[in-house]
Amino acid sequence: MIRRTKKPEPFALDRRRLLRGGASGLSTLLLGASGPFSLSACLKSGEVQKGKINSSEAPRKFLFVFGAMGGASINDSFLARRESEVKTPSILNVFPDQLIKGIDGSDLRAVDMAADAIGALPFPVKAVQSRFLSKYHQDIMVATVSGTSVAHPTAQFRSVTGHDAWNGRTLQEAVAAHHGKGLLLPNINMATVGYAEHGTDASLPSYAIAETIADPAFFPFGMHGYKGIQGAPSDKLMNMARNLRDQQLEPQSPFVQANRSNALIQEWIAARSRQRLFEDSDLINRLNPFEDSKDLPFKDFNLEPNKDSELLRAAFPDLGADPLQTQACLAYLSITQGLTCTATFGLGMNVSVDGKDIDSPLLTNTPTAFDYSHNAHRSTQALLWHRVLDTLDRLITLLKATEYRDGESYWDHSMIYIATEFGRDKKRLANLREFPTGHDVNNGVVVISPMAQGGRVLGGVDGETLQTYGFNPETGEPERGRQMSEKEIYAGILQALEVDTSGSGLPSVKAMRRKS
Amino acid sequence: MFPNIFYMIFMCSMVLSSCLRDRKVAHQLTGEGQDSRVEAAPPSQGQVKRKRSSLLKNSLAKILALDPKGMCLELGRLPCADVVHKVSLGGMDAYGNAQYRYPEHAAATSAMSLDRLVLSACSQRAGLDLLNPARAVIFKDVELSVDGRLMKTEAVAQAIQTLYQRAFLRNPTEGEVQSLLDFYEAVYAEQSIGAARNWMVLSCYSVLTSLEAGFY
Repeated sequence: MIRRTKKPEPFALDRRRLLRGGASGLSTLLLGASGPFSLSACLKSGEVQKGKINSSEAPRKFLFVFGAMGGASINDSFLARRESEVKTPSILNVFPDQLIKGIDGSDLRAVDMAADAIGALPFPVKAVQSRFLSKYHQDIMVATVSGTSVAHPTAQFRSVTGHDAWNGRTLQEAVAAHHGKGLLLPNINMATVGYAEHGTDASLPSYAIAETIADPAFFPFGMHGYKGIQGAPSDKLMNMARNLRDQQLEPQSPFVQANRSNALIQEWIAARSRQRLFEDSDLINRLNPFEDSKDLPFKDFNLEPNKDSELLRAAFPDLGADPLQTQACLAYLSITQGLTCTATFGLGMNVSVDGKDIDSPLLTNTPTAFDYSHNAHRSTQALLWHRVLDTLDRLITLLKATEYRDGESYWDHSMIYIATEFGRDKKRLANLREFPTGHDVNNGVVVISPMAQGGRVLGGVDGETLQTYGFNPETGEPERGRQMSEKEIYAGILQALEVDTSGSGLPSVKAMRRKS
Repeated sequence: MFPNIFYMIFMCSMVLSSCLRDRKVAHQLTGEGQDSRVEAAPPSQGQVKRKRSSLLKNSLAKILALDPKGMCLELGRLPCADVVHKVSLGGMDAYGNAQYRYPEHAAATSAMSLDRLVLSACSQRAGLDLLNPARAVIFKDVELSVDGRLMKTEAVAQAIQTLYQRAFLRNPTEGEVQSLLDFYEAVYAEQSIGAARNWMVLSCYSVLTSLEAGFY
């Protein structure tokens, strides 16, 4: 359950001072400006984390891809429509007027609503999107799109490859190839199914291939071969043993003699040769999001709890218990610790429950996530859009509070792309407040970034059908009768991130870039 | 009814081909017709597979005679092969993470995860064997001096022999034995205190994290 006690305000005026102000600056940001957390503990916290960045290098850009599993309908969030705005409200997926909030100077919308249950699932829903909208509207861009598949894994994959827009290269791979040179793991992926697939571009540099992370809570343990193992010999002795193995024992092994040229073996040898780089970077400690506790006694094992664990816990109070918050936290840490330039995470297929209040537990993820709209569209969409935006709010708050370089925050160089496979049916049976929906390729995507054309809806919604229509890729002007392709969205995202796409054949989509 | 001419040609060619093949095999077996300077061909390359998490865990537990459930626990409580490093070690997590296929490639963490699993297991085995040398599994009857040095007895070479036999179902080569014996001298020169125990742990580690142990 989320406790928000302060009125949200836009990001503070004197950002540079806040960024450099350590704990006091951060607490001002979190308590005063952002207000999603009760952060008295953070007042005692140490300095805001800073990445080790060489200012002489060109600034990197950071891409977070959020996989909104199951079909997040744009008609139930930023492009929602009021009953009074359409001709046949009783049979369209529109909302009572009072549930939809707008914001001056923007076509972006938000739905604030409550429900007693999610279809047959007896869990209440209280969804508030307006807080996110009012806080970040200047950085939120919605671009309409029509996809090409209503099969989940296929559509998920196409949402990150632009339907084979650039030789099968995923957005994350393209960003990693361009912005990830010199990073240890430029591309990490914590998502599942189609969002977790590798691209198919054989020409991709190997360093840009995604590292799959099954469980973000445990990932840091794999960043060192022996630290934290009781009784492990010293660094020097471990090195000697590895040299013994690699240089003396293995060359004598008949198995190795027979199979050394095997591709799997070669791949293993290559991966093994890099492990010292990870170990010397102390990532087992630097990526650890947790504080020391009875359940996780890091200090007893000569491991270090996170130096900013109070800050992280304040931002992500359900860290560890909530898979989504844990993923978002690792995404934050891996980027701000200089490991990564693109992180993918998102809703999973499994049910999750917030059981802190044992008498009234809350559902935090429906079975199959957004696809539970087949059973109960409105409450499913409300619950999960709330969850998505709440998690991203926490992530953005941390990114804004963390200096990247020269007084600029990580957020100044970041983009969040909410990828989803498709939208949902636009119609409902007459006057039903809760109703089932199928898949519809017509939808829109959400991009949140200071580098995107924020505060804008690119395209629009037809008042008779709720189908979205497209926009001019150069000017952004709405064009009825035009549908935007996955390829155009793919191109627009990469171009906003300043990825060199020369030779790719991608169209120019200037409309998605913030004008300088 | 005349036999089909094409059928007869086909049958003749099959017989001829078979004769030639047999002759070639016979020559290979006897060495007849081969240049004596040509070295024997290396063992043929079969299909190589990576040992995945459950196979690694079970085989390691068998080699070292340890309880697979307690063989490696992160922070003393989180099972390595079944939970923490399951996917990194090549396993699949369908129920927990909607991951329905084994990873095709080794992850950046894979070698380090293997290190942790093996090192933890080897530490346990060395500790148990030191505690009761007479009932030891690998380092049986290995003796230590009062200041913790390894006594150079036949038991040391026998321990190496046992380790290889249990791990790979083969005897170590003379070179492998000598490399491990020499390794003790290096360990002792680097850190004399606890050298015997460290040698046991690291000998076990270097053998059981090798390619021969990680693949089959």
